[in-house]
Amino acid sequence: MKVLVLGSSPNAFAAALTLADAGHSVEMLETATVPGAPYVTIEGGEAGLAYPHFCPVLAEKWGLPVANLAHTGRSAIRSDGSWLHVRRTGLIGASEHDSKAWPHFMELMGQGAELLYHLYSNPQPPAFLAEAWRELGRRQSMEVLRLPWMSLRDLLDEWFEDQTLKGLLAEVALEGVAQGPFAAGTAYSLLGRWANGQVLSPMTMKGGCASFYAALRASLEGRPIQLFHYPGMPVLAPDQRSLTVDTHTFEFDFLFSDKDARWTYTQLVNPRYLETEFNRAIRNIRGRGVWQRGLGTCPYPAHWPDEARLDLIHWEPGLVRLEKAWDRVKRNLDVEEGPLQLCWPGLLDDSRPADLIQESFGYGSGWISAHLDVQNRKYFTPVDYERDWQFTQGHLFGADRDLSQSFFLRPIPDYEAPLENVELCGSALHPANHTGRSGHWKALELIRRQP
Amino acid sequence: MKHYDAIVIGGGHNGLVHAAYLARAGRQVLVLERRPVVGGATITEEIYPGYKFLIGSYLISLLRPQVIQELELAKHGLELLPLESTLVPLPNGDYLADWPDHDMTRRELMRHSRRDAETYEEFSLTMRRLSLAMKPLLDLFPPDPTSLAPKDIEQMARIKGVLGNMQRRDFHTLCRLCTMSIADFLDEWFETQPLKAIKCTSGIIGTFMGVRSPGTGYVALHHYLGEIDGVRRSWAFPKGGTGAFAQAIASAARAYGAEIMENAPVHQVLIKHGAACGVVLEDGREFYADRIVSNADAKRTFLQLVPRDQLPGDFLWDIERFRTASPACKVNLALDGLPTFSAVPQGSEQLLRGSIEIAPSVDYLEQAYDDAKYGGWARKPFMDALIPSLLDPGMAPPGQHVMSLFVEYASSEMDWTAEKKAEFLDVVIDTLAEYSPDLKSKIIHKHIMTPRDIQDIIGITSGHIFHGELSLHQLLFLKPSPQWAQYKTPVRHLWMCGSSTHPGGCITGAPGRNAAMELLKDWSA
Repeated sequence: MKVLVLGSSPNAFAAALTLADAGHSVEMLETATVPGAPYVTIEGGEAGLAYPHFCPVLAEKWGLPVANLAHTGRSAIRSDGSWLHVRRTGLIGASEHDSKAWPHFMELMGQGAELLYHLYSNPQPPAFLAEAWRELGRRQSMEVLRLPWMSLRDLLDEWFEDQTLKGLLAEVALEGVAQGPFAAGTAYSLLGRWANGQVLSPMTMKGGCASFYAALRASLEGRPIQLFHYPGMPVLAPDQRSLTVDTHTFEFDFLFSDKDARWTYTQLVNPRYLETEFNRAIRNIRGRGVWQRGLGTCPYPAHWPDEARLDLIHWEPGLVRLEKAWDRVKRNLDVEEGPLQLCWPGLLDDSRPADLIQESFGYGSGWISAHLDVQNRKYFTPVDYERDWQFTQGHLFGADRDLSQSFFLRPIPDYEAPLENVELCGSALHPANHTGRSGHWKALELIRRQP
Repeated sequence: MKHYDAIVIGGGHNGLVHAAYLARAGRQVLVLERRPVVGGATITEEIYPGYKFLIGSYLISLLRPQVIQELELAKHGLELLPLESTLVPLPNGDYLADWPDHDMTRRELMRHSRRDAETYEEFSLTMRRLSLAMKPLLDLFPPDPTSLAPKDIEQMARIKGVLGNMQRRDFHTLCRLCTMSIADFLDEWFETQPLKAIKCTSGIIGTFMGVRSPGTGYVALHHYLGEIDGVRRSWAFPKGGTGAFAQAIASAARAYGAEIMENAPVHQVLIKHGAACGVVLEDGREFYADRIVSNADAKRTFLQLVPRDQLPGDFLWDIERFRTASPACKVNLALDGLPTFSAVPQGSEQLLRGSIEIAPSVDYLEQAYDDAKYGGWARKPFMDALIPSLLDPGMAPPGQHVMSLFVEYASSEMDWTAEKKAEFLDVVIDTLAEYSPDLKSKIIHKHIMTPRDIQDIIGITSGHIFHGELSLHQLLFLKPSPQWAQYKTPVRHLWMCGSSTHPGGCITGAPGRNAAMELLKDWSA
């Protein structure tokens, strides 16, 4: 069978590799201006998602490198100039109350995250999940059950008194999420990040995401997979047997779209071929990119503490700052001082420039220049992501990953591919990430149907 | 001294319902009410002689029909006057109205949007199916999902049955509604702003969340569970105000043999050998009983009425973190004549007989929340207004009227000084006057209950009308504490029957009834 995979994220590669291993001939086509999205590295700095986060089982199977350069933790600068360092092993610069609470909080989040990890790493909830949950004991199992529905504010207010610590954790959870920390269900976001290991020490690799993309491309060698890159708007033939972009036509028996659901079922497939009910559900998908990334040059300030050199640094985080920023964003107003995170990837990875500063900031144009002298600053916004990377509304997961759009509700409730030979394979599907799992599972499904 | 079977602390409507059920089963019951009048937040008070003010609750919808029937409340004087309409006056002089009569609403919506008029049909049917499916959950005691006890397993199976019997599509809609914001949910259905706003309001009543906060979808569903005389999703005004409703239950309870004592503020629950055995009043009198049932909210019960050293640390933490921050105020106005609304055309005055919602758009509601959520109040508050004297002329002297306003948002967490109170009252009246130009000239008396007043006068912590936020992490078997959600408490023989327990707030009578059923079962076991 001849399969065409549209897109070049890790999920697209996972689908292609799985199919090729089963003996199918596969073509991969990227029509976005920039290939590899959302993992795009520019001069050593990350322009999209910063931490390649591939399923370790699949990585081993295909000989892909695993991210192994870990940030030491997270730090926050307070408005009075003092610092807070957040480590797996404890808090530095926090109050006694919070330091005491921290290990217990870590334990609870760890327990919740472990259960969630099982959900994320299986296409269906595994049978042992209920047992694993019950094994936590009466008190803890109920505590875990409470978590996903809470707002970050409710959760963090229960545990901590330090506004900076609460703000830091909330910023981690809400990076890329169009919601304020006062809204119910935002604690689920934090739990999700915890399950993916991205809260305390997210990991990159030598050369950044670019080297992961290079490894993915290298894995095609010796396999019946060809990768094409023709930027443009692909047009699906009415018989759904070929795809044309510019002057290039690709014929296929089956098409996998790694693009998000809204893009696939509005831009690629003509909605006129689809049922009203289905179109309505697709239209109702919510997801709007609100975070952006900045790159520039600025050495690590000499008067800053050494402890924070290899950390992700949050600038004066706070729940109220985050919520107030969201108040403006939801009304499409610019934000002057929203959440702001920095790091120096070159200090972690000597193959990148040491003075490369990488920002991640919510909403607005960022306000780093008020504090640091950053040269050659360029930034990447959801508008770029939509135009150059082909993500609807610039959302790097294609749609919000809140509870109403996760698990069996993703991409839409009761989803079944409406066309018999076109299917999604990317972060549009459960588990809504770029670990390669959704691509792998969808490819397996196809192989099972048509060996 | 007389020894009772049970003492109910607090004569709110759930306490009275609870007492009535126990007395009906032949138990000796004593209800102790702090104030000179029973009813708790379901009261009608003549703050100014002649004008009956609804200083707490004002409408009834979620009241379980079983309570009315089983306690024969009609015999005891309960008369429900169904509301005829909901009116949203708009700043541009137009209005949008909603009637229980489906066709009338449809015709009205046609004026605003043909598309919405058509979707409305499907929306109503969907919500109706969802609420029908969910309703059985109101009357069951919340099972403990970690327990392997037969009654918990049986109850879990019933919940699974309720969800399993739903159509797949409805089940998905239910899951989405519970995890989405009400505004997002309605965006999927409608385009007319005032229609969305009017439907949004049920997602924020009593709740310190904005219409765009996920979680409000569930609150909306909660308000959809009501029925009056078998008519779903309708609201009614009890003749004589909600106070008359409380009197009806009190009368039923007395008829069954319960004793009700007013002016009897409880100081502390008496505990002997780890079991509650009585209460001591503030004046030092002591009363003894086999079971003590608290109708007070969870925080008041366990942080004030029970000695701290009698409670396990985990449980205390659960109660301390139970969220009760409240956004709701109650304003009552005595009016010299009926105010006119610029949006209501001449000849359509009957529209004022229903509820009047100051909720012109979704953004208006969200802005009101944003103004208040950092500890302030809405500069343009949302209001749910009612002119009870139009429905029941006995509420005000002839020719005059009373108006009840439920107002959001004003934070319970701010410092409510007398000046602030007066200032916010002016904000409310100024906002309303934008829709009713002659309102100010007709005001004879005005009265406001801020969340602080509700706390101080009625005795509910933070003045939260639901005795605690209706958010998903505080529901069902998590209410009020994950391990003590079945009306029992860590103190032996001390029970709960108030709105802090399943299924939560509003005038439902359900916690009181459910707790009574459980307690009676416990006794007979």
